[in-house]
Amino acid sequence: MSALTSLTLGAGPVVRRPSLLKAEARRFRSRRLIRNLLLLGVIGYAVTVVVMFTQYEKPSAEGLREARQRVDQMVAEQAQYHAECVKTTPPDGMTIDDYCGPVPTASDFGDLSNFLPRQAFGLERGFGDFAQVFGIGFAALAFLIGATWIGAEWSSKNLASWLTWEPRRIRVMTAKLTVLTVLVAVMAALVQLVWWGTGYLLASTRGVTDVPVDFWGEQWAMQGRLVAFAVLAALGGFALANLTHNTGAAFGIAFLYFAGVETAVRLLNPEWQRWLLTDNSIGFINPKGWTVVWLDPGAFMGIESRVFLSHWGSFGTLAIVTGVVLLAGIGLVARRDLS
Amino acid sequence: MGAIEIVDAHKTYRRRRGGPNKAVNGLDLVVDDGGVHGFLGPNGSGKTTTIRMLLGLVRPDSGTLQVLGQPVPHALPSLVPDIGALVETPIFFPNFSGRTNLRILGDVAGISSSRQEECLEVVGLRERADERFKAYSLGMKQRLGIAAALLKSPRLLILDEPSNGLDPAGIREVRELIRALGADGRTTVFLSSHLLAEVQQVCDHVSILARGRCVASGRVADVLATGASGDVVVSLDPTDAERGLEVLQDNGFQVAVHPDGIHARDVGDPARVTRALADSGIYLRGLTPVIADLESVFLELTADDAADVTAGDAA
Repeated sequence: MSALTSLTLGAGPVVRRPSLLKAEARRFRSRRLIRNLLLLGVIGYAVTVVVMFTQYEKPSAEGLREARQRVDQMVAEQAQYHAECVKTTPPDGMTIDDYCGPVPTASDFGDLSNFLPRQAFGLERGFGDFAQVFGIGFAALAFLIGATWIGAEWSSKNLASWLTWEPRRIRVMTAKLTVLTVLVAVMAALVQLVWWGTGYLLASTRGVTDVPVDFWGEQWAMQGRLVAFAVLAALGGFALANLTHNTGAAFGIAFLYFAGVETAVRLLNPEWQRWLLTDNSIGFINPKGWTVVWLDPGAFMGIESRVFLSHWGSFGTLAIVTGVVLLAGIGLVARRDLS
Repeated sequence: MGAIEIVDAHKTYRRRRGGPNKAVNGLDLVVDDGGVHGFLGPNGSGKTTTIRMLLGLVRPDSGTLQVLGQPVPHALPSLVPDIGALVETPIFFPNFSGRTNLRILGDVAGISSSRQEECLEVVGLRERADERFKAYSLGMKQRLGIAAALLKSPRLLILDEPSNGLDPAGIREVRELIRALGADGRTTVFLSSHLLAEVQQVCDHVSILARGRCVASGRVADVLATGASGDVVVSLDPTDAERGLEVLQDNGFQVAVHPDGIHARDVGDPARVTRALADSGIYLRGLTPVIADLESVFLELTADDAADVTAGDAA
């Protein structure tokens, strides 16, 4: 401390606008764990894409023509069967439409790539599936990031130190949540954007780009929901780690819930499945929502019950669960003595 | 306006086992503006709880606390730019470098990077500022904590055991820094320490805490005076030493041989000693009052609580 005399002891070191958000953003991008996790994610993504490029092959014009012929042939066969079916009398209590189903079309047979001699990447079949794989994978990563984001502060007792710089506890927690939400949303959107570009490139060079008219609207909506899902996962990780003051405990609770509670509910009280996080996650992400089906216990031969989980309903359940845990943790931070 | 004013503060921690713990029990404390104010007390006497209450980390059960003339914790948001604090162990993000840690705090308070570099320079960490905090020695961590406390150029600097882990040269430098800050006419340094010699060397004022309340407070010299014994050491020409001892005994003084002459106990007015010797034709070379050091006063005031205090100084 030889430079004592050089220290400006007087007032005046504050020359910039104080910004908790900027401080939190700096911390976010300086965190080694986040960098390493993202690097691993990027490597995993790159490897998957390389494997996809080697596994798929662009069909020849001849192959496409043959595939279309096969589809047309199958549609014709099924149409004939359907035509014969509608001439019969349906069993009691059933309508002819229930009995024979709708008139078959080409879309009932899935992507054209299914009928090609060597596998081609079909946008219609593959794009949404892989968007979900990458989106859910990133959501798992986001849970980890959210849990360690606040867990690291509790384990290093840094939160008390922060409060000697900004004593408004709610404001401190809000800044942390804002930075986490925004950056996770940006990264999740980037994942979907990159997959959109990669998927289209893959389909153009190693597959077919034929899609139904309303295909992209449905896909983009699903990609948007995957971004929101990643944010919910990050906030869920944050909420659990903040409530328990421990990252490991957050993982433990999550594991116990998914491995224990959900299994127990499915076995013992299946009608409660509609409230489970897994089912609501599927209901939120899946383009068509999700129908929970269970057999009524005790009924002879089992009678199926069904509950449809819509996008908004599922989102509401996920958001309420996350919000309650989050608010409980923040409430405790606001009231408790900190050491 | 005092830098710190605490009136009848109470804080009890509820524990799952062992019943409630009264950490602060009717504490009254006034720290005037400017200078260095020592805050002494045995372990568990409530020093750190008091500091945490002042910083809004712990809520008092009752009582009023004011910092720089404003009530806390209510006014803390507006006061924080004027308060620098190092509470117990310096806490930073272990995997970030010293520089990144200061950058983050700089962002929170809007402090320029040049000021951050200046503070790193002051505590001698600039060369190693890019190393991870967790790789720092205890002394380096303490230096970074001091750098962080100085970032805002605070009007009130609260330091809790700032010499912890520092080598002797570092301790001396920290004390110089504290003295310089206390003398700058702007900063009040509130120094919590268990090193009595440190407080005696560095502080203008001192408050002594025991069992959650203040048992003595004032200028260091005045607090020391409360422990003055009334003893004196009488220096005589060696040829007069034996006779001087007899004269003082004959005049009713309790005396003993001392390396510097004669130790006379509880003499009341020292002029009585001078007169008794002069009447017998013995003239003094010197008469030195025996003044208690802070350690003695502290141990006397804190009595039962003092057992676990390290009453020494490595420096």
